[in-house]
Amino acid sequence: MGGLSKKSSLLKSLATTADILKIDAGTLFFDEKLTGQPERLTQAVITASAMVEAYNHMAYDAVAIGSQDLAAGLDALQTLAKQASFPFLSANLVDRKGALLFPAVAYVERAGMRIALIGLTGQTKLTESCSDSVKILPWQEVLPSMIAKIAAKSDFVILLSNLSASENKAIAQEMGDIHLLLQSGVNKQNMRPQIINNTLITHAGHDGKYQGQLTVTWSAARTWQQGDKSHLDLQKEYDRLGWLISRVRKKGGPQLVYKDNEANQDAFAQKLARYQELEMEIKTMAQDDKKNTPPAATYSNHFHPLSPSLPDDAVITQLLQNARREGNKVRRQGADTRKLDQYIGSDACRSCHEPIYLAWSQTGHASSYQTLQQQDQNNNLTCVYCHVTGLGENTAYLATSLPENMKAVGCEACHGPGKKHGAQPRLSPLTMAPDAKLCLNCHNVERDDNFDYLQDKERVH
Amino acid sequence: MAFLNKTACLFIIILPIALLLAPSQGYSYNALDIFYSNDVSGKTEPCG
Repeated sequence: MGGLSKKSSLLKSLATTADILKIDAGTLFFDEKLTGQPERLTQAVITASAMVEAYNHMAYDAVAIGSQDLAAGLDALQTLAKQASFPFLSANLVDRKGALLFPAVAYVERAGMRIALIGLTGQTKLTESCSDSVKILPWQEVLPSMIAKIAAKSDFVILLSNLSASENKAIAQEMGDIHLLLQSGVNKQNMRPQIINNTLITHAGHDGKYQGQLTVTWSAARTWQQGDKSHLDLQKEYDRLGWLISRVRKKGGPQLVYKDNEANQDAFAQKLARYQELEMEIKTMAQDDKKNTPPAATYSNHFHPLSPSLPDDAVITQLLQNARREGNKVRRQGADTRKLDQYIGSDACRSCHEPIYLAWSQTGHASSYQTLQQQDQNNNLTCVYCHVTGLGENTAYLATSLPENMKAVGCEACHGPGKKHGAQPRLSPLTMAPDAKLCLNCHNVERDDNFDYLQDKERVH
Repeated sequence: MAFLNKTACLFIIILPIALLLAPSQGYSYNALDIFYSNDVSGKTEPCG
């Protein structure tokens, strides 16, 4: 699920009027692991550049700078900002002398309003390449005086914040004139909007799998109409159940988590049914709200999943393909020649374990590398290690020097390196016994929404 | 005198219109669709 070309076509289909705003609250370009994996840096910057082009094409209005966006260094981020036809915003990212490095605020006119967009960068440990040139100021130093000026010049104020959830809450409680606060870097799940003081807070799920759409009918009174209590209670229950269900799924599903406890499995099934019931109820209420004439500032929110069935935007597909090709060239130039000498490949297992080998050869594991090749993703370091044998996140860069017989999720991916076992089968048993934890390294919620350990392990061979 | 009358007439006509057009506390703007995302973290497309 996910993808920029799906996102673009979805936005095209949803943007039926001119009164739209497209914004991102930060951590657009790099993931949190990049800092510890310098081999991925060049490829990540090439991808980031393609992302800027894609966001230009989608006519984005602004993005905030998350602290993780500095992972490739300040120069790289400034180059990306120059390439963008929309501003990168940060009100608290400054140089050593305290001067702003990017615009703090941008104004746009939409829906008859003057809208102010502010960016805030989160406080985290900066990468070595940035720590000498950049400081991230606390929000208390910049926001109060800035908001006072901005509020007088705008009708609706949006803060794109990469700060922690507790800091965002404090901002909402202390600053009355921020009307919408979009978070980043907070929680992987979608968060239904909630009003704190007079600030509506929300965020979409991580990794670009969902597109948030908030329809706002703002009022000159500049206050949100608070939802009735029963509505809020339903949303609270829905959020709580959503959190519980996602935790169980992350751990491998109810059959695995509650193993032999049927009562707990039944309780989970009831929670799931209640969750689905609540989803329908909340949707119906939102539709009813929409039908009624809004008396004051109101909103409705929807998280659109970027499902594989959505059409692709050809322009963005081409952009990404070009970036992949460029990234592949860099990868080939930098290929490592180290041998993974404890591995022997699945073909070597066949002579003793033929029935298992033949069953495995019919599975998705056997063709996992070809699947990547077909998508031109076989040199993508965030993908490849889950589609081959013998590599992990930190050694994914070795993929280009991998022998052909390791280019699949083969026997040794789950049972461990087989060289010793191959030489002395009785004296050297295999080193690994596959379990749910091993499978979830790759079949986690981020990559495989529908994975169910007990059910799916039967399909391995 | 005629000038004053004219000014007064204009004032009487324009003032209510201006008041009507000015955004009052109950005034609602057009609906605005805000499309938002966060933490895309360099993910451009699924692996395969």
